[in-house]
Amino acid sequence: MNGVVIGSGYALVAIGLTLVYGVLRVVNFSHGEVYMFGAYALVILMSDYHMGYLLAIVLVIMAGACAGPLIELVAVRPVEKQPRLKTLITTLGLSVTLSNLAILIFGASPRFVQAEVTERVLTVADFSIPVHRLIVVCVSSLLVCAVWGFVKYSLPGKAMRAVAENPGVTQLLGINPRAVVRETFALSTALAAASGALLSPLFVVNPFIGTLTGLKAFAVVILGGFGNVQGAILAGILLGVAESVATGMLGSSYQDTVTFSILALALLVRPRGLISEVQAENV
Amino acid sequence: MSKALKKWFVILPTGIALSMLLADAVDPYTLHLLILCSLFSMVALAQDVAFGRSGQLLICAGAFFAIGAYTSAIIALRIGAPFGTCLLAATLSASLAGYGIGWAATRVSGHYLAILSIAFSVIVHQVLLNWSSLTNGAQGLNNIPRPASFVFLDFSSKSTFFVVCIFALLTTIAAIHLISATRLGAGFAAIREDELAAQSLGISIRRVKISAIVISGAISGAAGSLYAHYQGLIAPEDFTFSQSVNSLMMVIIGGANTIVGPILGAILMTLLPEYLRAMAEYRWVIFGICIIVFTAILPSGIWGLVRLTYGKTRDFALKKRTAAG
Repeated sequence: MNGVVIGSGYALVAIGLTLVYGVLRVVNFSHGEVYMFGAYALVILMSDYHMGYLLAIVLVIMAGACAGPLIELVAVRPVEKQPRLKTLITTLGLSVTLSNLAILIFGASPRFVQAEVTERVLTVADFSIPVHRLIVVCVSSLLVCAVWGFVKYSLPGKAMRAVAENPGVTQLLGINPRAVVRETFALSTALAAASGALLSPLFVVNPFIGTLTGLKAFAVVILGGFGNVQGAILAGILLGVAESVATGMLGSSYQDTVTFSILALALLVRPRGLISEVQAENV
Repeated sequence: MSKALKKWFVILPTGIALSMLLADAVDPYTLHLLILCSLFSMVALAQDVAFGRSGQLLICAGAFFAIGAYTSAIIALRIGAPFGTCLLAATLSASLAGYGIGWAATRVSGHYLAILSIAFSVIVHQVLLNWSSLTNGAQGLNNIPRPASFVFLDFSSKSTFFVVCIFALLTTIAAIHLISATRLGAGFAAIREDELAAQSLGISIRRVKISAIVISGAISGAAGSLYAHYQGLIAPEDFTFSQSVNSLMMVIIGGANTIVGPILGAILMTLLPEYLRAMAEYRWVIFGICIIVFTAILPSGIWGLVRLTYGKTRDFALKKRTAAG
């Protein structure tokens, strides 16, 4: 159960990454930092401004959506004429800057969400379910469904898939690929911020969670196959469950070792992901 | 014996003599910084062999460095092996790790290889942290002995250790310089510019890639060994993922695919925070921004800019890259 809750958070972060990769063939390394800022924003809104949990989440998601186009402007646009791999370096630089900026702003000591919502427990028959975990699963499945529907059926979503398929032809059809890229980034970081806000009551919030979560999201994206949204959902939940099983068996100190060993193995054995349908170029 | 090799038989002793003079002239604190500069220069040069010369975006120089440092320290503490043996074992174990990553590089490339190397960095750090019976966990290993006397030289003092570091750095530079003139060096450039074209010319991509990463690992491992014996105390916190990012930053800021560039980057990134105290707090924020600015505007780094401004460079690849940026 715990694994599914954390896993759905990972899936949210990973969908954002995979969307951006699908449209632009770019790996956004600073994605995890958006998660971290989302978590901080929630802590501050709830602890310092005494805002309700759901209202705070909505605000964080809106702020997250603004962060995406900024990242694109700062780290992706300047190197758009260079090889795609350069974007990995620039977003890595941005990630270093952002996480250290967070240390300067928030301090290195961890913070916690202290609110009533994290302690409430719902008792059904003999099972007691923490309300917050229920909210995490519900909100993230809602968001995942919304994104999936958006990408599949709405006009901007169709434009995204068109740009992913062939940017040149899309431009001929009168769609501005730049605008599509901006929208994709906004959607992507909104999801990362949402995930940070949803999961922050479960963990401590410190400036270093972003990098680690970002790397785990990569594991999910690779397991699911780059650019594959369904794969990311499945792999996210799988990774969350694998992590909690490993923690139960080996102790929490091996949790990250397990995650990254899975990542390395997945890259070497099945670099196209568990569900291989997207043709990968880098293999 | 080739002319290039002969040249190094003059440069090496001269460099060592100069470093002896320098070691006596400066105060202990500056000497400490100089030793760190020379060690990190080696790591940056190693990173450049993989990244700048062969075009393989690896972010795991810190992991090779850690493997070298821990191998050396464990052998010295458990068996009491002399420094030379430790250094050799460290170089070998790090090149073995390099072989593993090199093998991986023949299977995946581009983004996938970069992420794989990051996973490797994180795994190495986690293993150092958790394999307590071997690495003593988060406390790390201490009381690693300084090298004892060798023939007539006594290496136990800081100033003589500096000479050892300079010797190691110069040997590294010589090795990289000599390799770049060989078929293998041409192979590095070939797979960097166009793998497909290189393959069509009969270059074994597999062999060249693995060689590049093994060489990179060996140099980092040797630097790690020296670091362990210099500091006397190593802990997993010295070898996090950000250590690997650092060495990439040194290469990018200094200038990739050169000898001077990575050294310049290493010196700048080691000394600036020490001498500009006001900057120390903001240094990572600034270095992070530098990465973006350099990659976007000045891909050939500081040394590339210097070469283009003062002096006629024949390096067309450099001109092309700068024009593209």
